[in-house]
Amino acid sequence: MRHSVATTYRAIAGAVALFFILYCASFDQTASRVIVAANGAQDSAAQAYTEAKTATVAAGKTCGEAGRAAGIALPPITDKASGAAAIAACKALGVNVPYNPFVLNQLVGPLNAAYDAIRGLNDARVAVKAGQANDFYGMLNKALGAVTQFYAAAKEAGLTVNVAPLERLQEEAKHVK
Amino acid sequence: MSSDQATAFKTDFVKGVILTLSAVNHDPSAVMSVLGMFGYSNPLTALVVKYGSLGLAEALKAITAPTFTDADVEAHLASKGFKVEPISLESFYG
Repeated sequence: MRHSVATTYRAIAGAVALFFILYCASFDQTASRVIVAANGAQDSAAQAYTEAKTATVAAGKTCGEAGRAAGIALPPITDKASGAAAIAACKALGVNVPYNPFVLNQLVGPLNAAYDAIRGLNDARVAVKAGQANDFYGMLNKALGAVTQFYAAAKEAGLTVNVAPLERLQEEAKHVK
Repeated sequence: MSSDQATAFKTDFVKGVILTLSAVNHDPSAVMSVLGMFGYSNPLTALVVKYGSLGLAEALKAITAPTFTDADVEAHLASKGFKVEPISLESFYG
């Protein structure tokens, strides 16, 4: 009987230790993968934004030169509607502005917020690993929200973004326990 | 706990870890091994039987997937991802 009780206690201790090991390994590895996936998504999105911005700025300068040569005053850009008016004015001058510059600028906020949130999330992961309490899941939601918000805004802006990193991020995030 | 008991505990624990990991990998023979080793009334056995094909499978998947060290994550964060600047709307036309 004593042997049986001792075996049971050993097994319980082993099971608890096993679950602790599984939980810690699972959490840290999954959190690491989420962070790497989120960072990959942010990087991909930032590159897409930069390419769109470069093309749009170049077109804006070409349009300005064409407008000045033709003696035409081009509309100042202060909101989405005036951005669309600028695109139309440039088109009339034979210059294609690929994206509404005002709308494109609206992507900057969530893109930079995602950058900061991902690094904050990694700090939180390291803190959890060190046994320090913190709001890891709150930061996870913040990072996911910022990346997702960017993809939604990019879609609205007509910006072509590879959604594979976002899909991978969403898949990885499901496994964070 | 004596030295022999400590050794026995470690041996049981290591066996338990190996058998559990095998069992949660949907290997019926490993499940039977767990049952044989620890008995039907053992808590570890009960957990393996109950969660072997559920939560632990996810944990096993996480463990067996490519691993990232802290240095790997730091290196990834240092080499990928960047902040962006908005377009200057005031000087858009040059």
